[in-house]
Amino acid sequence: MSLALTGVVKRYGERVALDGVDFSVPAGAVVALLGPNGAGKSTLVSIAAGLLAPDSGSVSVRGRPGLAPQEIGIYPSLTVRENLWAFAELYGVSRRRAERWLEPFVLTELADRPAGRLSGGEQRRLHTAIAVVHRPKLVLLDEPTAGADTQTRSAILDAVRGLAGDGAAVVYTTHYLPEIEELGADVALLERGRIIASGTIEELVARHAESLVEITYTDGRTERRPGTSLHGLGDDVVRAEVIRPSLESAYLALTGRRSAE
Amino acid sequence: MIRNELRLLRHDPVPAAVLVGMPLVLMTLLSDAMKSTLAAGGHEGAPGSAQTVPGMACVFASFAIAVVGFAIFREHGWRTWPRLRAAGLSGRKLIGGKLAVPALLVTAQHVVLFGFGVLFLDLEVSGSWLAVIFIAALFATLVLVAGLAAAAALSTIQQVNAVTNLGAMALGGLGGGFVPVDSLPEWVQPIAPLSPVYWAMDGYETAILEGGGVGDVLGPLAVLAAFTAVFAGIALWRFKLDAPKRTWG
Ligand SMILES: Nc1ncnc2c1ncn2[C@@H]1O[C@H](COP(=O)(O)OP(=O)(O)O)[C@@H](O)[C@H]1O
Ligand SMILES: [Mg+2]
Repeated sequence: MSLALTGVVKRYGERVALDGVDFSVPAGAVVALLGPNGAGKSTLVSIAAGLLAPDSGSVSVRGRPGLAPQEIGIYPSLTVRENLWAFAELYGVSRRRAERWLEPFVLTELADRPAGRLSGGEQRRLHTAIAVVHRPKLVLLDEPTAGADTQTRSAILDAVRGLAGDGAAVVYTTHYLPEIEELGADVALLERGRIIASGTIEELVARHAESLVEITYTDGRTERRPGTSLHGLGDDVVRAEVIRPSLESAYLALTGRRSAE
Repeated sequence: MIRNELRLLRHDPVPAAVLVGMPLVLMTLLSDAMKSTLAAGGHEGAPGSAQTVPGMACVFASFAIAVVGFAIFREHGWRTWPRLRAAGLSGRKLIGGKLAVPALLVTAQHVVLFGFGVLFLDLEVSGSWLAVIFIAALFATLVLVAGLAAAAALSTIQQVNAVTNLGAMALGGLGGGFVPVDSLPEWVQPIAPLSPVYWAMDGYETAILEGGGVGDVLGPLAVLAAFTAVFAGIALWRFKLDAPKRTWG
């Protein structure tokens, strides 16, 4: 295993952020860590990165993980290239090797621009490139595609695929289920500090997904009914959507929420 | 990490240049006026630079407290601090990396100010240069450690700004960095020793004007060491690698 957490508990004062988490990722796997805001995803990632110590339980990590935290962390006055150098130096990686990441993250033409003058998506790509500058065996990406434009999203997804293809284990937190389907990633669903489901997409769909109709009424209420029937809807319905068995409906069944909420 | 600190300095050298250039200008402007002040204080015929060079060195070295504080806080503001930690830098390496460039800056400051004083402002050390170097080195250590203490104990960048910059000015003035303590108002005299600058200036006066050697400045050196120890204590007590620091935004 490239990452193995066993019985990990983490509290912030009274608040329990992780409540006995067992979580492991083998080499070459991509695991999407899903869960509503506040579920404990960032806490789990920080523990795996060695930034936080668990209150109990054990953590084992292969090598020095590469971390892209949820919030963008770059040196705004330095150029894109210099940002990569700065972290390459910390890891004892040559500048030339660090600059190989310019291309996959679509940064080649921006290499000499100060990072502070990049767009949000460009900064996000640099931020993610920094995480992998030393070719880590474990890559931790905390919401790498949050608010990202299409180009950024596809560059990051391609990079994730490439890294896993080279044998790295990738843990990836996100709210976007289509992305996970596109990557064919394994899924772990975290809610209130516990992993409530995990497996491949197919396993999750087979185990938890059912067809649903989501109905929105004029007064803003929403209701979900099992099945696919749209018969017998009253005049007070403004919208009705059939959700076929999918990652989305599995997520809904497990958390009672849509993934984007 | 030190390489990156130098890189950051190269991209924005203005604050560092001001910290060396500004005291040069002030020294030059104030030295003549200070000659009579020194004479009134019993040092007939001494050049004004005997006050302005060590005085400005103390005052502007004190701004390094802010330099250290900001060096740590800006890393939080840029959100690169957790990335440095994730790269496996130990607390000691992080702090060493953060102190290296300010240490270089304070050293350069002293070399330039004293060098300029000797070359252009008739500064003469009647006693021991070694004593002068000891005082300067210990005072430089004191301000660097005070910067760490500030970064450790304060939680917002506004606090760092207020405490370190205003503190540097206040302690510099109180301790006789601008004008000698004996020409400050009567009521200030008993509280002047609360400022580390007072003790540095006391030592400088002994070595520069009164022909003192290292043995004659051991008293001020001991007090400066005690101040340094107190700041180190605060830094050790309050410093936490994962403490949240509020910056801008
Ligand atoms: N530094 C902190 N201090 C106190 N509570 C925190 C801290 N960080 C996170 N929490 C709390 O822990 C829980 C999990 O947070 P987090 O790991 O950030 O969740 P997620 O990334 O899934 O949104 C939340 O309830 C959050 O409010
Ligand atoms: Mg989070």
